[in-house]
Amino acid sequence: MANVLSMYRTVKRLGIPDSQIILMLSDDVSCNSRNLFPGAVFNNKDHMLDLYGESVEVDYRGYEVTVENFIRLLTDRWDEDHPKSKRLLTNENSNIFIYMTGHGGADFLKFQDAEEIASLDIANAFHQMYEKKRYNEIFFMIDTCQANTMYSKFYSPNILACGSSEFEESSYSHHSDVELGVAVIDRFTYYSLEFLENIKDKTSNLTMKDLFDYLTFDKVHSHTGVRTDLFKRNVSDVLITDFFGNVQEIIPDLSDSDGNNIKHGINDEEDYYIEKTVLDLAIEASGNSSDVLEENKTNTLVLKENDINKYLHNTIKSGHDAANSKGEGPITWWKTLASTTNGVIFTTLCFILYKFVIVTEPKN
Amino acid sequence: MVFPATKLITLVALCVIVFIDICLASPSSLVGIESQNEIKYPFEEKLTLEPLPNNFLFASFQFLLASNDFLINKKNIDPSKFTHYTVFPKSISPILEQTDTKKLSLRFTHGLWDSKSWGKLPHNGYNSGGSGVEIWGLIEARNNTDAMSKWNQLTNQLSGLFCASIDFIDSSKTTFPSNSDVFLNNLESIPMTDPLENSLFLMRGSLANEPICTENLTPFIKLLPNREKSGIASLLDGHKVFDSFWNSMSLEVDTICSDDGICHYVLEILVETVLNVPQLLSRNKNPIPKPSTSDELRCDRSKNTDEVQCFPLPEKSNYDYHLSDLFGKKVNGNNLLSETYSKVCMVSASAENWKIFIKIGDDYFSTSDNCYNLNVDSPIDFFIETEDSSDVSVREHAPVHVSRSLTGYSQDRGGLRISFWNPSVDKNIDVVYFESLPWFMQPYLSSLSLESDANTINDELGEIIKDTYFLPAIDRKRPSHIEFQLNVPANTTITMSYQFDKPLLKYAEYPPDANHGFEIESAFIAVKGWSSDSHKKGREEIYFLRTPTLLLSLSTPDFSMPYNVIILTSTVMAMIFGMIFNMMTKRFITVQKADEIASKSKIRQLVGKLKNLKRVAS
Repeated sequence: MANVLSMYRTVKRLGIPDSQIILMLSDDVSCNSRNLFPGAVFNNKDHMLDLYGESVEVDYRGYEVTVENFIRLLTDRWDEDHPKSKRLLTNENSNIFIYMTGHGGADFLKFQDAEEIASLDIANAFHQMYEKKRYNEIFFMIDTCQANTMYSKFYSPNILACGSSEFEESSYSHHSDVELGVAVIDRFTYYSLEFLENIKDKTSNLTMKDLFDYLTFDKVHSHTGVRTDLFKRNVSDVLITDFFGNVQEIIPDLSDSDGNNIKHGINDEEDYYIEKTVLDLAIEASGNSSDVLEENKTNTLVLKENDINKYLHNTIKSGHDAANSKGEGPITWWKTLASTTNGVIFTTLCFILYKFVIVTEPKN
Repeated sequence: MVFPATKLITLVALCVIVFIDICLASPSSLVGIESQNEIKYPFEEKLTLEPLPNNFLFASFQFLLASNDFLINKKNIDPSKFTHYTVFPKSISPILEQTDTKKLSLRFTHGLWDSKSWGKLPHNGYNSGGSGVEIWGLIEARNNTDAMSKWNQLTNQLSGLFCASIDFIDSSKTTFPSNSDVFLNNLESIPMTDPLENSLFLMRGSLANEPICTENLTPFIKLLPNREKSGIASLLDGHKVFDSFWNSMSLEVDTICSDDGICHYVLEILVETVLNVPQLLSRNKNPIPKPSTSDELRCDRSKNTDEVQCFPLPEKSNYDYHLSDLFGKKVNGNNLLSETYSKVCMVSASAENWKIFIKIGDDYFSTSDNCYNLNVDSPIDFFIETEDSSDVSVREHAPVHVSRSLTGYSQDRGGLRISFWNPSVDKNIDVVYFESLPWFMQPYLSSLSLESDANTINDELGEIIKDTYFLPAIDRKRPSHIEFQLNVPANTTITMSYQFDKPLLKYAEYPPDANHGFEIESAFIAVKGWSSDSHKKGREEIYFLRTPTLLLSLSTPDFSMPYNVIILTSTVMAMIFGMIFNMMTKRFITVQKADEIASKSKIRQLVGKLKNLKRVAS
């Protein structure tokens, strides 16, 4: 649970609003009466960093965290009543960060202690997303035993994947919190968070390669894996903030109202701007809700997506509300976009999807 | 009860504001858009603190908001006009309009209200649900099916908004309560868009023991116009609100219309919590409870006290603390939007024993009525002081105490036992008992029986149960719906019990943690005419309470892998062992050969000789 919330905290800290994060948590650890600290989940036994924070928004929780719902979320096959805030509203310009954590094994990850998702299921879902133009790039991160097997079946383009341990290798928890009686976080995620906490703001130039280099065997105690063959860019060129942060870019509008290209200087006041925001999704699956504080719970996943565009004409000030209020965000933008089709260029819309898993004692 | 009265007044105040709005609107713009300087911000907030026995403190955050005017009849709306939002949350009204919901109540409650020592529930129990999530809606629709589809839309949207699994409330968890005049007042005055075609449907659903945590508080705070940035909402922090013995968050939206079809929504948000003051104060010093060291122990010196024995003294009764010790923060000044000041009040019986001071900067001030208007924009703290914390206002006693429990121990049937205790000495009370059971509890009304502890009372069903309403369940589609009207005589305990069957579920219908059991939602009780004060009318005349939830265990298959593996391997081993054992101990030969061998065996020969002998002898 702390694993997922670590990633959630990071993406939120780097400016991705809750409306673009989908968090799945199968457990209600934080307010369970067995939690000594109501409303808090810590990443360390010093209890300094409360990951649950003051304004967490969980999109899927408890029995809603199922393999079916996760696959539906990725492929967006829902019935029409399904609320916007629980959908992954991405398009071909979106970067998605997915983090999953929980109990797993070779080619599977357990959800809810009752069912499993297979690596091929995820691979097929990703391919479906690719065919439906639901993403630009995906960064898939998984922390579970034998995690690297989970991304071995991927076959769709533009996916960067990273796992905590090799085939037939366990992932390990970081340390045990004696006062809470559980090991709260796993090594892979703990050191990822340690690295990500160093990124103070969205202007950071650290790259994915720095992150992967940071996660050495000495720290993680297992062999982390990275899969780059599907990914077109070089990882040393991929900024962390491409997936973890909400980076606003100013894009000059190069076409006039008839669609002809015209040249404008970037400082031209008549330019149209598109603000890029990031949509994150975090999901934590699994875990057996009856033993709440037990760190063995499994779990989960998350996604983060980043997306969408806010279109702003001449001024960047006006659009902030739409992104912040849950449930009404994307729609508002679509409408804005629809109503102003002239001369707007859609730029990189990033989507990030995360999935988190809690790793604990050696998991099988 | 101070609360309902003040609520009425504030509601009236809101109405007045809106009325002014209407007057100022120019005749052509019926949809309530005025020029800048006429825009009103109908928003009020109030924090009420009330000490309870045993050093508990009840804190109630109340927010009242009203929307701008709109027309109930959509056909008359001029499409070229805009609608504006001032303080009313943008996310709520589209949902209500889309689903034709005229009234919505959403309650998130957790914990046990100890009514035997704390007295009645706040607001006569109207605003708190059973443990978990409870939702009521009044929906305008053509028929039941139409209402159900709108209801599904509503629950799905709310589940996205409030971070809870409200979308699990489908038709198998939804009831149409029949005593709607008891559950709602002034039903007739609720306007309809199309009164000829449609009618109003009261619907209710609930999720027993749905976890309630910070992610549910966040959406409530986001509904407030100034979020948690200023005003009393700045105290709302999940770590403190949920570090409580009982907490309840509720949202109540009403549509209020004038005769000419101009309407507005009124939204009441309540966040209430019961804090244990000594526990919170000690948590500030030491977040993890540890045993007191020997010099901190307060022993009764009149008794034998040594290194191993200590008779503890009663808890100390004089307390003084700042509100920021309890909530971790100071009030961040007055709220910046409202036309009235944020209010903080302390309700207590004895003004001498309980004092509350406002602290601005380093200065303390007090008022005679223990009520403060926050008219500064700097951080404000409050200081509470008492000489005798047991001297608390005596809340009215609850008019009835109800307990419900499961009986029986078998896997295929069970029973429910509900007991009503009327503590009043001389007043009989009328009670509506409402229960919605999941379809996998199949009750037998024929087994309904009553017991009473008073000999003088005739235990005849008809004497006690005045009216019954029962709608049986349809498997997987509809819950059982029971409504009884009972009359509970004064100073008497009535116990009602009945039996039910537990069917088997399909394999995929078991939740992931099936062995935990199935949470059964609270029954809910409305007490009519309990009040001795005949001036109270409408919903204030009715007291609501809920029983705790139940945990029903059904026969559950063992999903665990070891069990299946053991069964399967044992079967295979038994089959193989049997075959091998047979093959090793037996030979396969033809019948003729067997006879031949048999004839050669010594025993056969002996038997043959004996037979011959017998023949000879005879």
